[in-house]
Amino acid sequence: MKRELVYMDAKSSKFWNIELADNTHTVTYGRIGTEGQTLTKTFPDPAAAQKDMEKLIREKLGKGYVDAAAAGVGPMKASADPDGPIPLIAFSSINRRDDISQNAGTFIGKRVVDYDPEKPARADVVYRFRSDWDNNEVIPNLEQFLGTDAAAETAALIIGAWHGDDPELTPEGIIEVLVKSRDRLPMLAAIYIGDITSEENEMSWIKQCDLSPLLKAFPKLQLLRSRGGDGLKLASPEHVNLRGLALETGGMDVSVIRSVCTSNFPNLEYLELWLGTDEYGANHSIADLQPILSGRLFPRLKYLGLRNCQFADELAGVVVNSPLLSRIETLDLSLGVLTDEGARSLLMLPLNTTLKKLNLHYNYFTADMVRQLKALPLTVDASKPSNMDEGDEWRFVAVGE
Amino acid sequence: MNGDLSPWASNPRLGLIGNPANRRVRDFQDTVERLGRPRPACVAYEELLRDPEALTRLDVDVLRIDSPGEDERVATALIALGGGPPRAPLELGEIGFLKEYHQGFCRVIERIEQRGIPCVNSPRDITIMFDKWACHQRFVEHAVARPPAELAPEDFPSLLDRMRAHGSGRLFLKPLHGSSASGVCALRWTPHHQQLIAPLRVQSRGGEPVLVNSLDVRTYSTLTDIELILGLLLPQGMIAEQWIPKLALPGGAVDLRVLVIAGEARHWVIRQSRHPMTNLHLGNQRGDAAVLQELIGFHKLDAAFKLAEKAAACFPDSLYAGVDILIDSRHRPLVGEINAFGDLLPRLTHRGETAYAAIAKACYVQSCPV
Repeated sequence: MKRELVYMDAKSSKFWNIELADNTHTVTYGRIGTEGQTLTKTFPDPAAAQKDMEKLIREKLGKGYVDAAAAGVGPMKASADPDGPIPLIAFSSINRRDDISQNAGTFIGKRVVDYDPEKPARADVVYRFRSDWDNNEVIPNLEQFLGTDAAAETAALIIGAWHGDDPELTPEGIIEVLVKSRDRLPMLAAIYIGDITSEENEMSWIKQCDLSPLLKAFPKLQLLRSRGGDGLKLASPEHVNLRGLALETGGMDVSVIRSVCTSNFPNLEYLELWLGTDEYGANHSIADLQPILSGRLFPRLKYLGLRNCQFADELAGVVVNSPLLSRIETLDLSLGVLTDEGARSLLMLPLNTTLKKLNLHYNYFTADMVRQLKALPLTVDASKPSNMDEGDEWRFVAVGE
Repeated sequence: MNGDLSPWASNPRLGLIGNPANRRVRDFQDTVERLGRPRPACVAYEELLRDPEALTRLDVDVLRIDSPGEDERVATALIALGGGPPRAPLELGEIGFLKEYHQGFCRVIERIEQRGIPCVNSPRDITIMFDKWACHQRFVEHAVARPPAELAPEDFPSLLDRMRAHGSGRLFLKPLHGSSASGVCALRWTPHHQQLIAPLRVQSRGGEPVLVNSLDVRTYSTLTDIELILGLLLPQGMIAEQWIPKLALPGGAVDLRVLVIAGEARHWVIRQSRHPMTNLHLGNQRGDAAVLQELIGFHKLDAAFKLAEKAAACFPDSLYAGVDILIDSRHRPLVGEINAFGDLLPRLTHRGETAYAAIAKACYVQSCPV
């Protein structure tokens, strides 16, 4: 008996395989793309070995690992085919609240490296372009990279803190360069505009712009991820091949939600929206999310994340009745103000649907409620950051400031 | 490294100046005893402040001057000596009378210097290390990489004018004569927002606002709050340095505290935080050295140690100093600050020695050349 699992987030992409043989089991684990390490354990009898294997698998699934085959990931490579679909699991980035305080270490399962104009460009990593405290070379560096052979093979790009000493600067100029040089990036499948930690700039201060020119310029784009809500727009939300859209904000403007709701993304499988709080620009209500929850959009959706939401309890109450639950696999209400009230709604989730996973990381649940949620026949992440502030008076979303 | 060591006897008797009840003094005395040397006598700051002649009764060959901190009575006496009120009405943990405290401390150090007893770290160096602007200038002179910095104005309206003239920016404002993170503020602003992040809170004393150190780092976002806080801090003297985002590892941003002893970077810790201040007493944690080395590589880490040594070498009359090194997004090291009393690194060992053992041994080795 054998089970192969994988895990990916902004920090790492790892595999974990286990194989049972008589009264032993062998675990092989490591970073995807490496051979990893092997540990063999012997038990008094085969039943004990199997019992221990099942326990380990449950633990791994609880931590967010998924079956490699279902995710389309092998232990030795991040995706089956360099030109093929990005595994769905590789779309996620910030899995834990604390991931926000760090720049991405991996993106679409590949290692992220800050672009260094002094070194030859490679195609097997994802480059991040960002300004430093003493210069802003994002555009010159990007232009240099676009002139290399590696650009022609590159699958993904990250734009980090682009603003240098001018936090009012939007990424518009960078997007123009990318759009103008679209022919230099024929394989571009994923782009992240705004890998910016809170020390570099507050999420709600980041000046964004209309990102939809990227959709138009890159027909092979599968994933568009961005951080920052101020000025964020998707003026022409249209793309035949886009499979993932992730918009992280401290407060989402209703116009962005409307753009998503009137979009034409027929192949969208992954939708992650950070809704935020009214103090940081959120001016939407649960009614604005109804077109998404009604299930008439995005026929191929497998993951729905409505995260960092100040009304997560209310949202949970509405989501349980969504027709989407009959076809998505993951529901993610993490990073928001989710209490036992919302959890009670989630306990009423219809079962025997396609739903496999519930991500409720960062929450205000009582221990008893966590136990009840864990008893659901789903993989439930009800974890909390180690330094969760659980004061009774004030409850915050994970990214408020 | 140490200056003129010739007056030291071959078996020098070591004396201390400090607060005898403080763990710094006790731990150092215990360490020296464990090395098989006589337990060093300690003259208390309190005694020294009461009776300037106290030093004459100390029969030693070399002096280690330790921190006067963490003692309310010593603080009150230093403030009085520095020209402040005889009984400064300080709340517990209040950030006040920093200038007077520093003046008083310098007066005491002068008295020690006048005695002419050789010191492990020279009195002159110690007073400079307690002046962040003087340190900054010394580092610039010696081409030690530092964040750009200037003296902050002593009133809030002038600072606000400068902020508005720049449109937006990010600064660390640090009291010139503060210690640890006390009074340190991370300030950033745009034409639309402003934010001050600091381990302090505002308290009222008889209707008057006072600033008190707080173990949790708080964020103030209104101009009213920021004006109130900086209105109390700026007149006490501050340095304004560019706030350079620190390198982030899993678990938060990091900087390094490197203890340089006799010219060599020895004990070091990674200080990690989710806030702009990484001082360990603020509930922050020690980071993982292996993770740091994997991320930035051996050469960049070594460059950080070299820079710490270079910073310490700007104070050639001091045997040791704690140097804070920050690492920017391109993994280049910069000196955050240098600390005369930056050797409190309990339980940490390097080549099998604690920091105090290494310093104590260096005191003796330096005096008896092999």
